[in-house]
Amino acid sequence: MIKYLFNKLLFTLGVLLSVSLITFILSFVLPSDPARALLGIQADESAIEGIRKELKLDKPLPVQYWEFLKRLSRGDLGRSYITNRDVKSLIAERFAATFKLAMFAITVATILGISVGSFAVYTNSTAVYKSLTSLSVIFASIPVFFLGLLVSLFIGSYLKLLPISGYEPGLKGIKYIILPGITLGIYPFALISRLTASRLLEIMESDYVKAHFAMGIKRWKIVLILALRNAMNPVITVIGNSVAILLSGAFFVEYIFSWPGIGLLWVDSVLRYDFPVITGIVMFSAMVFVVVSMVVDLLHPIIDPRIRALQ
Amino acid sequence: MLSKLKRSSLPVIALLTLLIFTFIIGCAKKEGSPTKTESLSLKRGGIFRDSVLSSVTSFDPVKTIDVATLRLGQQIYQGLVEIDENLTVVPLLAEFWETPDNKIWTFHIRKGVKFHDDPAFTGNKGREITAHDIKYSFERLLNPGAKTVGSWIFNDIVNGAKEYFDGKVKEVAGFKVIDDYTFVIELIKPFYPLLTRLSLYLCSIVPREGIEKYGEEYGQHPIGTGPFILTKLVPDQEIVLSKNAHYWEKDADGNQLPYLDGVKIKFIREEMIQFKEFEAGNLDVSDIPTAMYSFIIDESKKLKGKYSGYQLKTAPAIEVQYYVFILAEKTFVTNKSLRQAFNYAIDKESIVRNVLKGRATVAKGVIPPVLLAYNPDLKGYSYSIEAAKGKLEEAGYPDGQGLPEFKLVIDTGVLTEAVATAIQSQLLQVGVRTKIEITQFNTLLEMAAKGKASIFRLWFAASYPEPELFFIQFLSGYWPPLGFNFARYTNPKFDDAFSKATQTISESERIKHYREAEQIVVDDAPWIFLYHPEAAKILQPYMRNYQFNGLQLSKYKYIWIDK
Repeated sequence: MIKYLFNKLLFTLGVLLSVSLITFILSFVLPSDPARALLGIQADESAIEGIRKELKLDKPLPVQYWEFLKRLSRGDLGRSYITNRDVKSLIAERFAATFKLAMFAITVATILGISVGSFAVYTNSTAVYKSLTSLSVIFASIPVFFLGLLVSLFIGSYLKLLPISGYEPGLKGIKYIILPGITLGIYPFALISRLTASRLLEIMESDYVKAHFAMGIKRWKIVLILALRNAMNPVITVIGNSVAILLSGAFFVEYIFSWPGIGLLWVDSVLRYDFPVITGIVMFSAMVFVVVSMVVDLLHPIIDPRIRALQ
Repeated sequence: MLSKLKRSSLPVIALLTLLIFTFIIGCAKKEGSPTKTESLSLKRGGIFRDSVLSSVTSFDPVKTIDVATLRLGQQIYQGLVEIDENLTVVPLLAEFWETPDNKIWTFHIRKGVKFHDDPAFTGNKGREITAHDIKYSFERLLNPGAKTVGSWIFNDIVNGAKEYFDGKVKEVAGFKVIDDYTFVIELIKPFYPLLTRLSLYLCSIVPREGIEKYGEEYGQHPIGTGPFILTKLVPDQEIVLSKNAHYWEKDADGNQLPYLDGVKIKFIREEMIQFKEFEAGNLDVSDIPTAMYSFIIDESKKLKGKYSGYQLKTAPAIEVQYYVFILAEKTFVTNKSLRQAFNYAIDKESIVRNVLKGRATVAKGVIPPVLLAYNPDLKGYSYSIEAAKGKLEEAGYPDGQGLPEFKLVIDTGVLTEAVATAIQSQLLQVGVRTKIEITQFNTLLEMAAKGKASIFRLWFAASYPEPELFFIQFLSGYWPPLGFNFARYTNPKFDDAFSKATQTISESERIKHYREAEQIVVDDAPWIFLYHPEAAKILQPYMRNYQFNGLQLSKYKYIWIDK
């Protein structure tokens, strides 16, 4: 286990370093000038030069990167060019909203996905299974910005069942989370339900399941108690990946529903060339990916005795 | 101004789907429309609900380049003068001013105006503003240490401003405090547009105590003299302004301003969502989504069908839309006759009528019709295929033979792309082939500054009602990266006429020089002059006194809610 963690840590460092290098280089390849974006088009050239100096944009690229790495090693992501606020606390503030939304979406998607997948197998009907497969293909392929607008305009504006957009912290805000949560949860729901069903179906064909049938155990018991647990491994990987994706901010969903999360912050930062924030968010997302994949790796042996045995 | 950073929008496809979808919803929905109430007796109180379509994070005037922030900031802060509904300069913190020669300007500061109450002041009570605050705020605008974006306002015109900006002197010689209520600005040479420049949000008056107490965080704790006080600012969630109970100003009938108890601002990113929130009754005012325009407004500029119960406010924007030719490169467009041919070949009337659905007026030149210097008799380029062909021949490219395929670089946006397509097909009719390249607005600006193509789509919206801003784009000394004469246009005759206009005291003389300068530019055709757009807002039926002018800045202090 210690060796595993050590390897994972090395891997994490490698990933973060490469991500930092790529983002850093990309932000300088773009035809953009943060100093001018900061001061506006009417600014004096001398004012722009001053800002360039202050932001250390006048130093050679490797020097800037080295400075950036030094700060990063101290956990310092720098300050926003635009608001001059500490990037770490900016991300921390926005992460609460993104975290809430992601957790809501993934919980709903997981519960519904596993239930629907299991139900489809339980019915033992080709028609039900085929409908589930087709529905999940449709759900997985609807572009999220289209779905977001559709959900917001139809349920929010036309049916007036829920708020069209907005955010409120605390329990009062629960009505605001439902529409963006559904929009965000549809894709993982489609994946989870389909994967659950297909894995269950495979397992239902295996000898040990057939033996249980022969013993006269009811189908629902076999599906839920015996087969489901064994079908969970790939499903957990999918859930893990979805969590990581959702946690790094859902740009379109946050944009459409005016949800004040990391995605919205990222969009603003890109439009204003606020590179410290862009780099900060990218690094943060990379970190989330690595941590979540580590958790998923650790969960596998707990759920699947065969992996435990191998270890 | 070009610095009005434009947000890139969602892909066109999203808007098109939206259009179809909302149209379906619109057709299916058969609810009663809100009706207008006719009561006109002033009612006080209530919360006005507005929204912004981009991020607003702080209110420090000298650091502001985006329109959303200044729209709200102008309710908190005030300057010496302001622009009224008719686009004229009126007194604000300056009760009146005098100038014998447009060079020495004496401002008499209004007595008894106090800053908002704040812990930054002794006893938490806002103190009276004086001429010292004006000097402090204006010097701060020139202080690179304050990370100012507005040094251009005074740098070239105020005596000693440049030296102060460069850190060579401790104070600006041209800013003089005569006594607590008299402030003098001494210019290097006569400069009439100073007054309109002073109306800018950047020139708002701030208290030294606030800046010193809050430092970098000052923008989160703005202290002004305006009718509203910031009580809550959570970026991307909510902004709340509440009434300044000690506000100094009264309306023409002697009623205390503001009428409202407060203002709530919602952050919304997508204009269609903003409009739907408005329809659902959650907002009191909204922009009109481009995709919905022709479903909401008819050709006579009236609200249509189920929208007719709302109120519509329109104003010709102080803005010009154009395509700029980059003249410095060794490109074909350095040929004047060729540029004139482009101008003749484009049917602007048809673009305004068919593509923009009447939401604009044709631009014969640079200056929008709402400004005083607008010249109704300007000789522009009326659409004529014959004239275009004639000019092409004169340029040495009969029927476009010998010309390369030109790249038209534009930014994203439904209208922008539709206009570009129209231009492309009209140019093809005279034999000029073009290719449209779509990019993000900031990237386009960078490309234009570096001259990476020969034709760019640009637009310019003034932040104060003065021809000066429009003309700076043609001044010889304002080539990028220093200035925003993207065309790299140079004509000493133009420079001369412009300089005379800004220095003249007589208004009629000034207008004469401005018009002369505009005719020179139009003849040289460094742009394809396209159109002046119209701004529009839709309001709930109970909204009263919502002033709306070409600057698209509404003053909340006059608004009242009739319900």
